[in-house]
Amino acid sequence: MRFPAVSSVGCCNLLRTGLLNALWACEDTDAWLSRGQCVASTSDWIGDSMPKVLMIHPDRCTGCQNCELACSFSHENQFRPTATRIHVYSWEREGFSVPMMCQQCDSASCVKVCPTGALHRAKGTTLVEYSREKCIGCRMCTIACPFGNAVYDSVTESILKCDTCDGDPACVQFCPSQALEFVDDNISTRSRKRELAGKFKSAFEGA
Amino acid sequence: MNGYSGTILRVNLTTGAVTRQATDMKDAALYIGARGLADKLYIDEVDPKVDPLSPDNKLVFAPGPFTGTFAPSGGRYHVVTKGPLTDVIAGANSGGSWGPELHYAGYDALIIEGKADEPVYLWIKDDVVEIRKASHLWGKWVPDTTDLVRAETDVEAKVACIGPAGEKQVLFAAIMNEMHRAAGRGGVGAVMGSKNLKAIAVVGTKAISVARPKEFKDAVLVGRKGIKEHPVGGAGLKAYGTDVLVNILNEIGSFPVHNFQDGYSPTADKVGGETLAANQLVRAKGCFSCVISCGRVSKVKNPKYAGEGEGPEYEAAWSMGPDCGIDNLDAVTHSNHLCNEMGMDPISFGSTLACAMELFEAGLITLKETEGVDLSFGNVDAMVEMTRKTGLREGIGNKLALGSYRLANSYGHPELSMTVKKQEIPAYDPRGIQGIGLEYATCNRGGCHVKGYTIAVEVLGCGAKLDPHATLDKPYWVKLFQDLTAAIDASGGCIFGTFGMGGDNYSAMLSALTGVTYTTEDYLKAGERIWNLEKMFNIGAGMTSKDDQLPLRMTTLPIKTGPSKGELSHVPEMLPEYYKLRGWDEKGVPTQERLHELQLA
Repeated sequence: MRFPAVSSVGCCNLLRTGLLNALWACEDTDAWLSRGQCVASTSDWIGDSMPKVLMIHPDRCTGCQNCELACSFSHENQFRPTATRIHVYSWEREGFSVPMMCQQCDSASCVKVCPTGALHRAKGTTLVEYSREKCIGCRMCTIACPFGNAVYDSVTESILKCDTCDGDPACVQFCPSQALEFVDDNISTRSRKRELAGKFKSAFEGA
Repeated sequence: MNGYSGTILRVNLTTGAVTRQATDMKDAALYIGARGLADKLYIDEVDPKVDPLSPDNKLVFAPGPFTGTFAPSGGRYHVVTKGPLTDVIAGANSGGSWGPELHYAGYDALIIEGKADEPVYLWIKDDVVEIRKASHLWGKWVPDTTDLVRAETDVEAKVACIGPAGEKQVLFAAIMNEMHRAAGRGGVGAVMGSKNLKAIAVVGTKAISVARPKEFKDAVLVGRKGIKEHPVGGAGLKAYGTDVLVNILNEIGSFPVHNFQDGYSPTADKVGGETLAANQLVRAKGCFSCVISCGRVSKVKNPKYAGEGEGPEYEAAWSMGPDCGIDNLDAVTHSNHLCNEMGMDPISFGSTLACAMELFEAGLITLKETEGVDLSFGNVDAMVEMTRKTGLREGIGNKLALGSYRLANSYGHPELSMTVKKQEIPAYDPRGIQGIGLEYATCNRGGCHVKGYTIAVEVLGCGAKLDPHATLDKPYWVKLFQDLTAAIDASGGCIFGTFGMGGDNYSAMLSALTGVTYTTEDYLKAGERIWNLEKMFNIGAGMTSKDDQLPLRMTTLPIKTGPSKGELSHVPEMLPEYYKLRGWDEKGVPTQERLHELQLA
């Protein structure tokens, strides 16, 4: 049992599974994305504090890339596009943008394939951590990650992935449109639930 | 080298030579970057008498120190050349992410010279620079060009390109990047077309370093807070875009209609930002590092004008709307999409069409010339058709493509062209707002609002609230806005950042980023230096104080209806004081003393 202390984590597990299924299965990607998704969770939540998750709301994203800039700057003290752990992908014809960063998967492919334990999850946390000292630079994680969110950086000779800035993500601080939020796990899906509940409401009212 | 890449790239399209030179850090300190550095490089190398569309003309692209950092709304690049529309210095800047990419590739400026024998595009991937054939791209519109160039280079490449308007040298053709962002005014796209240069694709992976990181971040956070708390920068522009200005300007009776025959429209709201938000807006969009998000992702569902794209901005909604007697926002949005896709400036296009409509109603342009199209004011279908014909230079569009100055002159009625230095003046009636008229008259790149946007104090009450009808102190404000804007342009900033930030914020960010200390006075002085440098080029190109005036209509035909009824522009009365404040003589020529003081002599 990986999460002995807090039962609500199960919700996050389900959600992440749901994210993967939806990504592969959902035809109406825009509609799905606009509901907001849980894509990352963070470090030590044992004790009174609720584990937090990084929520992406692509419907709010303006494509400004301030998150990328903040990420690069907070980790490297410089602005280098290859140093950012979050990437915004834009579709210019439709004017739509989606930020992508490590999902901190429960069943993380990067952790499974890492031969040295450089990528690992410390007991009692929801964060996939990276240890530079143990990394041999084999890049297996970059191949294994289904999202492409583990990236090898030739400048620092290390793997770059989201570490949620030790629980205070710079990307969230610099996002001007609240497209990124760092919120308590147990309310992270509230807006989605309400939206779906609203659809039930409409269905019953229409019936 | 903090805030700079340290290298300037030079591509000669005649010889195919690609060379590099170190960025002169002394020039960088004096002219900052972007507009300032590009001006300096261009003016040092090019004869002001050059024919803008000849191989002897050059085209300089430059990001600023902010470009590629998280300085709020600071991701712009500037293009400098001699404008074929205006025959004076043309400087146009654009947001999106092309400028940051060029900076990341390692270049503080890109100088294009000569002319290729056949269509080519440029592919820059950090240190690797290739001139590639582009005959198969010639004729393609901007979105398709962008996609095709990406398919041949890198799917994530940033692409600046021209559309058919640039290829055919429409004199107000734009350079477009990320499909919808434009370096729009003065005809910079026509210069690119004259060089047979279809596109510049860039991928950059290098770092921009910061002299004092903590200080820079703190200054950025202060600036962001200022914008967030500002009613225009923090809320208004995101909700309604720049088109929110339609009702604001109309309510003070300074909203030009029918080619400036009046300054008020009872139906203006139909093309306003509120209407746009309710009907065509899909979502707000921001350029690279933007915290304001004034961009409009727009979609027209009406089958007649259906399509997706961006805009319109206020000036485009005005020029192709009420200035042509039109209040159909679906059609205006569609024409704005066409302007983006063909790559041309909707301000000059719309105002030129308005001029053509007045010539048509006066019986000077005939139905034969228009091939049966009724060019009367208010003809929506004609407006849409003329957009396409102008971008492609078909039929009467071939004449519209020269701008209203040349069009009106060809019919013997220069007074019907609403231009300064042959460039169309925009959507703020200078008869009802005195300061902006002085800006139009004196702007180095011809009739233009953004290089000295006194609307902020004359209409919006940002920082100060002045009486728009008064002339008192307006020369002081025009000079202040012109100098500050030149410095912001040179830094790579967006002028909308001033809705919440001032000179103190900009100089603090620039100092911490570059390690060169700028007081607010130093920052404004750099702007003034840039302004005077441009002015000296224009004098070399043959401009005199006679060119610092508005169209005759602005000083002789009063606004007929609305709140500013009876008003005229008083530019001639303000001009001497403006020259004096600038340290210029009574003919508008900078004195040696002032040039020396600005380290220009």
